[in-house]
Amino acid sequence: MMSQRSDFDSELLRIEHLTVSFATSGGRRLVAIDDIELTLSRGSILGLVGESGCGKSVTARSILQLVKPPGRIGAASRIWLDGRDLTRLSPDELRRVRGPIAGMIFQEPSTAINPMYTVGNQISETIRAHERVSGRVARTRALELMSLVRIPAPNRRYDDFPHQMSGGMRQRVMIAIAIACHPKLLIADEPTTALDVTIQAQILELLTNLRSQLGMAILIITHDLGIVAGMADRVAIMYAGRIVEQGRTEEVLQDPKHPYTQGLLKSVPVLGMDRGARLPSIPGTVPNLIDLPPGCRFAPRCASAFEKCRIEEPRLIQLSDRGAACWLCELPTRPGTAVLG
Amino acid sequence: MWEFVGRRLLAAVPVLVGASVVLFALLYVLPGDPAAFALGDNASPAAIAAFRHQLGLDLPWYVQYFDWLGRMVTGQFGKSFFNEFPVVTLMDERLPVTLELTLGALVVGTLIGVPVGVYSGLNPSTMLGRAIDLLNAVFIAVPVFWLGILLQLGVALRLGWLPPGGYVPVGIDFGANIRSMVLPWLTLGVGTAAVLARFLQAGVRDAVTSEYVLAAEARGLTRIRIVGKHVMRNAVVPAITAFGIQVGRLIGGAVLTESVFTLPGLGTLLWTALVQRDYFVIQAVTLFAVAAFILVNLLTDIAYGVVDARIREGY
Amino acid sequence: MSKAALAMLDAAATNAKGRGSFERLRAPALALPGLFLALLVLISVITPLVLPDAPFQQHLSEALAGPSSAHPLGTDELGRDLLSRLILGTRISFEVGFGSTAVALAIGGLLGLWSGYSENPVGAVIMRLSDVLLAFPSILLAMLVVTVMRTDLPGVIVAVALVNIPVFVRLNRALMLSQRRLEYVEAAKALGGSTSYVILRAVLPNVLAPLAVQSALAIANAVLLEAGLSFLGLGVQPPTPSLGLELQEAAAYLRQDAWFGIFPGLLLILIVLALNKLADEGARWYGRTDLKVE
Repeated sequence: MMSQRSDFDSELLRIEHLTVSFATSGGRRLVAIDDIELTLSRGSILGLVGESGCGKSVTARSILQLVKPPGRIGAASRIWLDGRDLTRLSPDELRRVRGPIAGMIFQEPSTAINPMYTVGNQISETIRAHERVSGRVARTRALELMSLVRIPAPNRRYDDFPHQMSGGMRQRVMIAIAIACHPKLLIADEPTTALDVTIQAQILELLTNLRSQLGMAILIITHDLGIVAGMADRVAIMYAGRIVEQGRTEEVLQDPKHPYTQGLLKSVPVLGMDRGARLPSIPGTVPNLIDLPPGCRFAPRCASAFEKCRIEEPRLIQLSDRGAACWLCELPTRPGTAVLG
Repeated sequence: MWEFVGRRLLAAVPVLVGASVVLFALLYVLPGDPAAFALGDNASPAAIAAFRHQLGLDLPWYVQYFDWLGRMVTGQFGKSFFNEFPVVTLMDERLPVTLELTLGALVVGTLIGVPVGVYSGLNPSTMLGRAIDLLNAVFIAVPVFWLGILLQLGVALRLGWLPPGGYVPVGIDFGANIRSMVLPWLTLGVGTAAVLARFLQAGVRDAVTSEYVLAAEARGLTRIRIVGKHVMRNAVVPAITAFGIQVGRLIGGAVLTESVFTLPGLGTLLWTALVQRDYFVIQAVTLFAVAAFILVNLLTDIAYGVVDARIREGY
Repeated sequence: MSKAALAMLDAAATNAKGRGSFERLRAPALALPGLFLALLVLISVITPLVLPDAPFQQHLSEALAGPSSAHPLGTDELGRDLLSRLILGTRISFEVGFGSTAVALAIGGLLGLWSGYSENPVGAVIMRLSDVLLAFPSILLAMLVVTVMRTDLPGVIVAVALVNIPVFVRLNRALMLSQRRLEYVEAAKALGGSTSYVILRAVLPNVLAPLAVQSALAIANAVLLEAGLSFLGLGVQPPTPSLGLELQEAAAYLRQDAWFGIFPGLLLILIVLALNKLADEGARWYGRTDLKVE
């Protein structure tokens, strides 16, 4: 399924030089995401992983140009979706992209669906916002969608209000709304964080099935490595506003090149561990984005950091299909193997 | 839906009864002897005692209460001590004036407050938005009677555009009626507008920054639809609350406004009655006002339930 | 008040997270209204002590005069100095405002906290009574009570207090209900604390913030109510000046002298504005303490 180089035909989403900054009350701008690049092929699932505050949610929102003041997308940013640069579209053109080309689901289903209207109403309105169909047709399509996302008894549920449904059911409604116009990309921002573990598994399975059934690509944002391990084809790890490692999921998880990824993996408890053993954690804390240290952002917490790490910030260093932003990847330097990306 | 309405109605009844008890209690301890007031200074103690017996004032208080309640409910409001007119007649005369005043003020307040509130909610950082914030704060603080006097002074007396007071019934001269009501409507309405605008603004702001609006944007709904449908429905909820709070202010404000502009309404009737200790008038008008207040609050509660499905179920 | 409005106010109160850190208080936002009020209180208390007769001395030959060196704001229809009357009137407003709110806070607060804490049928009765009192429009209730008592300062204070008590009862009950489930209350009870101990020593300090905010609003309400009552002649009686009374007297002389009426009203607006701003700032402070968790 994966080709070595990004084929323009199979490439659905390409993010280039994405920078998002926020104005702070102190006057200085806080750069939440600093010049990141991401690509996503049609029909594939990419997991964007990072801890709270690393900027992954902001990344998700900036794809569909949903960043609001005091946030601002940098002038050099380019977001290519299905061949069009979203940063250069007019508001009206953008509106026509949201829904039919890409849909988005959010973390908290109880706040992301309007409590005042029935769930069916909100699914139908999405359809009618983009296609000239009658209310009847929209309702039929909405019912089909509800079945697609495995909501039992859609006929009855159509007229339910969000508060009359369980969390898992609401999340399914949100998915139904997001895929109502059969988008090519689904952006899922922490879709299961607010749900019970058993429901989580169901929702993730649903998403994977939808990918197979509809050929839809999914960008899933999460802090949970377990989720990406289970469903993502490729994974990108974010730290302090930058992508520090990316590649095929099995490769990254089995052989992480970046010390941060290594640390994350080590801190996941494993069945059969020694009971008394301490769970390893990464020492230190995430840096303050306003006051960044020179050089690599992870260097202060990195056990393998050396001279160069504290002087110069590493860019993503490509090794065949993978990339890691770490000077360690240059060692030992053999001419011709490392290509600076 | 109807179950909800029924529950609300049922809940209002004990409040009404309780209010009648409180009212009766207050009137009961009112200093001064109604009989003595009624008969005047020269009446003999015997005549006063006889009149008291006639009014039933020598019966135990609980008997008096039910007696009184019975009379109130059947509309036997008695007669005014000072001009011998039946209280019902007096109220009948004055009710239209007060109704015209309060309803007109409500309309003015809504016409001004709603657009202002929605605009400042959608555009909080603009110059106009900030100015509106300030004006709101000021007008909420402005005493109704002061504003009335100011308008009287400026518009009526200095500029002579509108009459400074008095009332012309609609039937006699429609134009004069409107002219005599404009200033009172503005006086009462501006405060209402400010409160409504404030709550609507908060509601709109809350809705605009909510996740469901972001989600609505993310699925490509038009701006008009987002604001008109998603934002407004949610913003209306606190506005209804504001409305409920405002009605009390309106009733109180009506008394003051009628006083400033010398309008012959229920407010001035009550006021004179209180000063003169005109017992029967006091109790009838107050009970009426309280009942009206409870009724309006009931309607607001029901409106709440109509708009927000969660309220229908929860309560 | 409608049930829904009350419920919403309850919910807003119980969203209080208790004490907030002092850094989050915006000093400039609090300073201006706070200093203004403090200054006003100071002036209004000290001046009548220093010049007790000024508001009452009549100089009939100088009636309705404009501003002059002797009378910076002019004189009223009986030749009395307006500035000193205004200052005394302000003191009356504050007396009613602070006095009635203190009473309402003490009585309503204790009743509300107690009824929220113990599952007593008396508590339910208190709540019903509060609801009933809230069914009266404030001015109406105040007018009635003042007529029943006497129309002078203590009467007005009692009337206004009565109007505000139910509000505090509801607020405190809501606060107690939300705090009751928290662990520190369990701890206090486990330590063998009596009811009064838990209410006064454990819970009360944690709900001071919303109480302070509501008090500021109650004072503003009281000041306006007193002015309204005096305007109708049902408040303090002449010759004692009250801001509302001043306005009433001014109303009669509108055509001759405009000056008269502007100042009492302006003062009222400024006082109420200042109190509202303080309340706003306080609400913003305690309502947002959860923003610290990023």
